Amino acid sequence: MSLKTAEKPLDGNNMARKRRISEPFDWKNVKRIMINNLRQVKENKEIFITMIILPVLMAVMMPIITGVMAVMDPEALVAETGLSPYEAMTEYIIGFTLKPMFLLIPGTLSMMLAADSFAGEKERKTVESLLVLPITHRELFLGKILMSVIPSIFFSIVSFFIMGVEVNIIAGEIIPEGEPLFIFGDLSFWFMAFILSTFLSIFNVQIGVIISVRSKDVKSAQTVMGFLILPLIGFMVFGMVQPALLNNALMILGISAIIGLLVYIMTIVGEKAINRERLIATL
Amino acid sequence: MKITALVDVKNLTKVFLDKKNKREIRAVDGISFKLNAGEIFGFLGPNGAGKTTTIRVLAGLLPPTSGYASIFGQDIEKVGDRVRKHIGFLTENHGNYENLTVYENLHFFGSFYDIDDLDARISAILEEIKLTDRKNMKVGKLSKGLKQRAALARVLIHEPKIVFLDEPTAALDPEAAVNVRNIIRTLKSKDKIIFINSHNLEEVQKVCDRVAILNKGKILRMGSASELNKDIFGSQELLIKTKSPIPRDLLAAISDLDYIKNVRVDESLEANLYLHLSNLECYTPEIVKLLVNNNIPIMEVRPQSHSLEEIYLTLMKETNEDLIISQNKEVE
Ligand SMILES: Nc1ncnc2c1ncn2[C@@H]1O[C@H](COP(=O)(O)OP(=O)(O)O)[C@@H](O)[C@H]1O
Ligand SMILES: [Mg+2]
Repeated sequence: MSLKTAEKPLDGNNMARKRRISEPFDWKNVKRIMINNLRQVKENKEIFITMIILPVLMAVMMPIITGVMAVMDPEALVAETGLSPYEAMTEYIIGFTLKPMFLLIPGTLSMMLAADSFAGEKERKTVESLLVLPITHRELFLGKILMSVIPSIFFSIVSFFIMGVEVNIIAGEIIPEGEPLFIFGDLSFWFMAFILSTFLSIFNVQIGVIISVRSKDVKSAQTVMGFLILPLIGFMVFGMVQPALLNNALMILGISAIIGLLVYIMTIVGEKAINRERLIATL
Repeated sequence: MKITALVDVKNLTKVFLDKKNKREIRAVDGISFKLNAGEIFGFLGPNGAGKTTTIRVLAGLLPPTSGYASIFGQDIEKVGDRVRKHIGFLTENHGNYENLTVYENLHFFGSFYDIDDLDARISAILEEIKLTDRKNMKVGKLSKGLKQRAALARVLIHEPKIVFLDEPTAALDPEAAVNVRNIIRTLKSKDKIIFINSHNLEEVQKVCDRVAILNKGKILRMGSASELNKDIFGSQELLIKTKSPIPRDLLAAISDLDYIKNVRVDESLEANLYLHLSNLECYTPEIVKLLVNNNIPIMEVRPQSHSLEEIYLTLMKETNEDLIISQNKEVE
């Protein structure tokens, strides 16, 4: 239902918009909202499975498959690429495959969680019980945003370390003396795991929460987000065919800066896009 | 000391814009009332009357479009979100997490209020609502009536001064409804306001001290429950079945009696007489005596209670007439 409260005076006797008193921000409220939602998410099998399976698949399985390939048959790699096994592993396997794939972790996790933020409460029919609490709308929305952002960043960073350790254990033997470790020796990968995926998570969550506020249930929120994830996939494909994009630390910083700017814009725009009234209109 | 009403509403209006149909919905349309501590106030109205919207505005969940409302003497548009520390709000859904236990729900929701010893308070409220033995049961496993009681426990955990209850018994079977109503009655205290939204006439009659009847966003009538009982709820119709039709001159005499508000004869069954009495208890024997004295053989005498719809219709007609009268006056 596209219903909206009239902002303009509809009767002659409408008063000028009054200023609400400003209330001190209470982090404890944010924390309570966050923890409670994570508890709900934990019991939602679909989200929980994604939260576990995706990092396991991306961070545990992919490096094993690719790493084993490289170790088992280094000649094939060399013949195909004309590079040394180490270079082939770094550029083709890590650069073309693992790195773009890695972005799926923050990209998807953040969206999955953000989908639940409000649409999940609508399904559980608890939105109004939250709205009537003595908390400000900032505290409520920040609680929801952090509950989606923090696990997403956490799993990205953990996945990064798992991936790195694994690849080096499996394929460490092809590292020539004096050359840096796989993944850990690559500054751009560090930037990606810590900076790019953090901004990406925040941006995704901001968009995701706005969609979640407007959706009737988690399914429809996820459907809309499915379309929004397309640009990310396009970006990954681009990263695969154009590895220079993701293999350059400065480039990663640049992309992070752009997304960081988008985050900043969304923070300003978002305050208007997400409010109690919108939420109530979709109950 | 100046006594200010705990809730003061003047000309409050809330308009939603239906963008699709480019139409305004006047959910609440210029209502005014004052509530004082100690009363149970009933907001009676059919679905879509604007009951939920009114309490959402009062609790600061929706901004009003126009008009003024204050709560605890402070303008609701200025007072901020922390004011809800003193408000309890039972939503139309029971609103607890079904996958958590009663205790876990109360612990979560209760943590937002400044309660010194939350665990002790949870025990106390569970005792009060008689839910202690279900403390560690998942809310989803409770019956509808018990779910509603768990919801009441959540709403009352912080001992709010103003309690809004949105259709507290609408989803319950009659027995559970009675149970919840009894609990609500025990909540009445001199420093509290209990504000009940309902579309159940009987509920409002039984529980509330004062009632406002709302339809299409407007208050049609407001008064103490006993006033309204006499005035509209209670002015029931009396059905008298006779063996033969009543002579016209007797009918005319009956309708002239001052305690008779209205006389209607069933067109298909001429022997069915419907009388609108000002006080059923007082005047039923009188009218029976009159008929017997006139040698009318009576087969059956039965009060016909009004449905809420009929009451709305009567009230709507009244208000329209009032409007016409006041408009005429203006013309003069
Ligand atoms: N958030 C909203 N957006 C648009 N219209 C609404 C909204 N909430 C209620 N309405 C409309 O306002 C009217 C009054 O609704 P409501 O207050 O829920 O009535 P009640 O609680 O008495 O059943 C209805 O016509 C309803 O469709
Ligand atoms: Mg309602």
